Amino acid sequence: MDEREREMAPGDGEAVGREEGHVQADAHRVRDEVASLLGQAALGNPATTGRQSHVPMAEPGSPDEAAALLRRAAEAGWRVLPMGAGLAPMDKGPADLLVSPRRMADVVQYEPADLTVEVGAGMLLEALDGELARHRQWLPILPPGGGAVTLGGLVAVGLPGALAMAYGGPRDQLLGLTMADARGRVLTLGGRVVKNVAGFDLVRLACGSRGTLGLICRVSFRLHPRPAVDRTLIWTGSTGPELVRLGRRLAELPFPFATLEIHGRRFGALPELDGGDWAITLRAVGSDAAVQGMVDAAVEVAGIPERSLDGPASERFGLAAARDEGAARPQHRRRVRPTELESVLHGVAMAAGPGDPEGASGSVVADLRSGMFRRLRARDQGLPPLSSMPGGVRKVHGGLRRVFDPRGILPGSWRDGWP
Amino acid sequence: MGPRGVLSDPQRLLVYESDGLTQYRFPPAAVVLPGSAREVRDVVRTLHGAGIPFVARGAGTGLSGGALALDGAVVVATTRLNRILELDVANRRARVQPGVINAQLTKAAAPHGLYYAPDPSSQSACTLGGNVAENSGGPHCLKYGVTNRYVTALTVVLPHGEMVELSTADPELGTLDLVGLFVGSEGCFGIVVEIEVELLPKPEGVRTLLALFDSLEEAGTAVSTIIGKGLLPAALEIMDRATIEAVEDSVFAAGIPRDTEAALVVEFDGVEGGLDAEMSEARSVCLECGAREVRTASTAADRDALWKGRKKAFGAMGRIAPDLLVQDATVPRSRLPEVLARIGEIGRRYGLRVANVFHAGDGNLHPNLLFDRNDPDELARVEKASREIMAVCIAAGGTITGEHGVGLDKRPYLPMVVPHPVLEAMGQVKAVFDPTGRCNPGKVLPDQYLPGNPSAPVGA
Ligand SMILES: Cc1cc2nc3c(=O)[nH]c(=O)nc-3n(C[C@H](O)[C@H](O)[C@H](O)COP(=O)(O)OP(=O)(O)OC[C@H]3O[C@@H](n4cnc5c(N)ncnc54)[C@H](O)[C@@H]3O)c2cc1C
Repeated sequence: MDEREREMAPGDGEAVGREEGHVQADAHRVRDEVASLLGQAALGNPATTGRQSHVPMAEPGSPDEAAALLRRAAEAGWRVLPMGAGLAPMDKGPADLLVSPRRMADVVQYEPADLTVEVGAGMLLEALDGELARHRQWLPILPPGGGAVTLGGLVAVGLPGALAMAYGGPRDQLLGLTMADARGRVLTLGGRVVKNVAGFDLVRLACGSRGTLGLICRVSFRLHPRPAVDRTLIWTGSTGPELVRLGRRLAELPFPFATLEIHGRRFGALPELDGGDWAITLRAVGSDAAVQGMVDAAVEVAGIPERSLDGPASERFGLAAARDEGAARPQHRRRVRPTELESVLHGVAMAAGPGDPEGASGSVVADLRSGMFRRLRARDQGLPPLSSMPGGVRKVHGGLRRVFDPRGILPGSWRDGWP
Repeated sequence: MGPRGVLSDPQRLLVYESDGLTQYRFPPAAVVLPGSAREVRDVVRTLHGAGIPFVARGAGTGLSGGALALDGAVVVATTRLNRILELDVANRRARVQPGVINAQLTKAAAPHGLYYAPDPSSQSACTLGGNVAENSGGPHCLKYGVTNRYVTALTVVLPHGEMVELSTADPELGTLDLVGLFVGSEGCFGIVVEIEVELLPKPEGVRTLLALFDSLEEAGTAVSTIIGKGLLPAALEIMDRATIEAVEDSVFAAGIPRDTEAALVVEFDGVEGGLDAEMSEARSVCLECGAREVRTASTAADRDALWKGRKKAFGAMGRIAPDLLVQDATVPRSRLPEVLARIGEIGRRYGLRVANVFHAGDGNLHPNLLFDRNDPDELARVEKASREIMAVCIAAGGTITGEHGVGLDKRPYLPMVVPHPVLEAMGQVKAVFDPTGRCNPGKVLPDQYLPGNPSAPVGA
């Protein structure tokens, strides 16, 4: 344990000691123990994740099973990597056990009249969407990876996605969740009602925690009516900064556009954006009259778009763009002030000249209203070490992780070398 | 800090002995009025060094006793921290000190076509620091969401006197959503000294409707039908007869017939072109659900008239009974009619006057129990009725507080909705920020879960 770690837990009663040279747990033993604890059915096939195929994978069937498993893992000192569909580049440390909520993939409760739903974290977003569509309802979140992400993964990763400026990101639409932590507790957080301030907000803490606090087993969301009309307008151009200026003028309109983004098209794979190196996508949803009003105003500012996608085509494009974004990794995300977008994009355009050997480094998507900038530059995206944070905040992070994972078996902890 | 910054004269401390929930009174040991973030840090550091507990206080409009000074705590009031530090119009952001009044931010943003979305009914008095601490909502949170959606960054002074900046979850930095955790922490994790918020552009158009009903259940049904139709109003607010009578008897009279059992305010905002169609659909729903009259407004002045009763309801109620217990609970929206009926029945059984005025679209109820504190029997009935109302809401799948927080008042109820392992984890999280339990002592969690308590679970 070095000075840094010591500083993380002043006056902490618990022993904190860096575990030097963790020895990989024996895969056969881990597998046998999982089977005897939860039954053969809980042994998953790690190959389905496409990675770490030598590492055993457990698929607990309930939050209680997940908690029992994590308790055992903590006792044994197994390093555990929670995962969803395996799409997000999580921490690549050497895990002894992968844990997935895949077998918890049912609708737990769906009350269309309340516009709320609770589902197992292993359910795919596209499966939930199918269910909601039958009741003309919608969960307006488009995470990188599109419909193929698990809802648990969507929450654990917590990225805002393309619809966030209109509807909020996962953190804003999440009402509650059930998480098994590495103390072996089942934590049922939040609830199913849309306003709830009963106690500290551990729901928000868990959202975006990327597996560092436990395995998310169930999630509940607030829903929206499915819009009657869905339209995406696309303008293309050859210079990024110029198109940003146009996009910023659109962003200044007082309208709740569902999406307003600029794409550095050069290296993307979306045929809808053909026509130039750069494209603005604007998605308007709502009633017929409302969408018409937004489209008219947008056309007045930006002229007739190259393309207009309607209904299912608009919806499909949104999903394809999200999927495309998920496929392009590793990624880099940064939030800049929207007014800085122009100069940032200018820099990107300069760096990504025609002969750019790195190709993908020129690929970019930016939200014109929030300034959220994605796929700017290829970079490894494991969890950065706690030590990169300022002191006070680092202490808080270390302390919080320890609340849920005192023995440091979850991702992040390994890298930081604690306990 | 100089004499201007500290109050200790008992007369002057009286103001600080309670908040919007007047049945609890705890005079603080002293009140400190820092004039800058650094002064807050220095004060907290000094208090920490001396082992003296403290509690932050904004405008004191809280309705759960959150800002009261227990255990001889010193009040750190944010009154002088009332500056808007930056209004970044182009990026729709503002940076403010915690003592800025909610409505002042919207007022400052208005000339630029922007506004701050969360609009608690107390917005002309409550502070943004208080809003952050309580994760406050308001009538328009139905469509726009509550405080935590709009706070993008915080600077806080931790209980040991260190000033840190908190951000939301960021995979690049590996940070957890400490902003999300801090919002709604009711002053128990430290003192907020700077807040960055997102502002919204003012919607292009607004339409408001006021529907009058002969029963509260009908109004509740209208609310769930409007939502069930796929309409998303900006606000859906209900007042019942007791509230209407109070309003009409007061200087705030809004011209609602006194025999109306329920008045429902429906407001749509957004793209001008879509609003009339939405209004007419909502209007038909109200009429189908039994509304005896529907009034509509599209000009700002007419809209204000329709809102007047709702906005002044709380103030008006103060005039019809010496004391008022404002309850706050949320239920799934589809259960509203049934829960409202049960609350009415509980009030009758205990011989209490109950006046409902609430954020119906969110299922967020505010049954106000009217009483006289000098009548011990009535006070006892209020407490029993309160507890029963909570139980009814929980049984319907709801929770014990939607926006006013747990504070001091709801502590005993918390275990009714939050299971033991979660209370334990909350106590451990509190201990990460405040291991000695001197920051807003005696709030939110029952004693046995609070750090510093001998029986608290260790671990964090
Ligand atoms: C008439 C009326 C109507 C109301 N309507 C609504 C409504 O519609 N929606 C709603 O949500 N609430 C409503 N409230 C409740 C109340 O106004 C809100 O909770 C408000 O956010 C409290 O702000 P305040 O500045 O008065 O905080 P205070 O009452 O002074 O403090 C509340 C809590 O915040 C903490 N706190 C204050 N400042 C800070 C800070 N800088 N750092 C850390 N902690 C701090 C205090 O310690 C305390 O725990 C209403 C109250 C009244 C009286």
